[in-house]
Amino acid sequence: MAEYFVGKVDEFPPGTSRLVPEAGKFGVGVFNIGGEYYAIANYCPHQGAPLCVGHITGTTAAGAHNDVLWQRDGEILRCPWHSWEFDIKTGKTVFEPTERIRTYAVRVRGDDIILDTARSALEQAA
Amino acid sequence: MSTSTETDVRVVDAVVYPSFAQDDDIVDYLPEAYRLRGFPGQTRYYYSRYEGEFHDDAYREGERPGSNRDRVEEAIFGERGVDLAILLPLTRGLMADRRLGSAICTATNAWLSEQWLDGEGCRFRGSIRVDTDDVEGALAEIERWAQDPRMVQIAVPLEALHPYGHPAYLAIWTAAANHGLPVAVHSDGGAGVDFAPTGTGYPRHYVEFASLQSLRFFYHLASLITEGVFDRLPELRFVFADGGADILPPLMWRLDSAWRQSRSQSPENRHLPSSYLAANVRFATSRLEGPLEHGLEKEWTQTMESYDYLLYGSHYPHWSFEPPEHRAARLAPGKRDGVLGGHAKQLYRLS
Repeated sequence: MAEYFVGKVDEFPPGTSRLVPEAGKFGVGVFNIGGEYYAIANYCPHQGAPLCVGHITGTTAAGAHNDVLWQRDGEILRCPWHSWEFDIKTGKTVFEPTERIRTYAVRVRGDDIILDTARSALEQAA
Repeated sequence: MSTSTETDVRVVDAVVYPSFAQDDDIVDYLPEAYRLRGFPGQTRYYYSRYEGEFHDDAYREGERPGSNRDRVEEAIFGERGVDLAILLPLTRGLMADRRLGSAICTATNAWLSEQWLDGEGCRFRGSIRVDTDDVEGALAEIERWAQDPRMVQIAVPLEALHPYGHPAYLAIWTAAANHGLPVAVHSDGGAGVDFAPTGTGYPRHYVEFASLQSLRFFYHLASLITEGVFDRLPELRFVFADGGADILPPLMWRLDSAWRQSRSQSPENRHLPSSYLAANVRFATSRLEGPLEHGLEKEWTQTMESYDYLLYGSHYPHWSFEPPEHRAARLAPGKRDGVLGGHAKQLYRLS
């Protein structure tokens, strides 16, 4: 089965996340970032940690005077084991060389949020 | 003296130490205001080798090794077939009075220019010594010599008040990058206001000093990378002239690993630490490094992928002197030309 019911739209506000444990091999995390839904495998490509236990956070960038700027708040997931930073929207590490978590499609059907593990987020965007 | 055109250059010795014949000879070159000041001599006095600091080849009756230009030319170019040599005079360590430190550098550079770099077909190239603790003095010294084609790099001590990524030094590195001059880092000679040569204080014996003190290079390298100095100055090149390439990769593995976890604290360092090495970092070879068994050495250097960062350095007249034919025997045949001269020619734009 490729489709999973994640929850009702009004019960899943921006800034929150859910784990769908029965989806995929390790479970799939679904995230609401600013009203858009994103899904990633609960498996860190580094050493296999349950990624979705990690903190949802932001990341930094260097300012014009090498001051440290805070960016992309709520879009970054940090692995609970070694703090690797992942972009929830793309599944890619923030740093180079890039490593990637598997992503999945999420759609809204009526009031229901549906995870589709047969397609990646990239395929959905296309 | 034989001359050579630059297209003939095959072997470049990137580390040769010239010295004053007598410690006090530097006084003739000091600015007037500093001629009565005291400072350490050229010999490192905490740690010295049982049989002396210098290689057997370099000892001559009544003469400090490395102080007689004719003798050094004969040893390097005549007996060993080197084509060009980069001179790296050591200074006297950090001075509490940083302007005195700069005065010593000014005198050393003037002496080097007058005594070692003059003459038709001269096969020596020089280093501009600067005191990193005196930024204004260092910048003035760089401006004094940067346009002189005989000077091919800036040289600074391994000993420093801060790791070299500290912004206190950024103006010096910026000047170096703007002039296209690599910065050579080398453990200095006489001890001024010096620091312990290891991270855990003063070892008792010379064996510990000789084998471990140069590892301090890594703290400077890690600092330069993580402070984003190479991101700001992509043209900047550092040469660690004491060596260290043999231990570099395991240290870089650690830095890369920690960077992936903690890089958000240093966003000015935009790329994986090890990815800066190819463009920005070189190491002189050292006889004291690598496996003792030569067959294993080729394998080790191959595994470490460090060939491309290596510049042959003889370290004449120090006891750790390594002639080019000895280094060549330690390298896989396909890598000899680059390490013995090709990399240095490219780095110093010698051809």
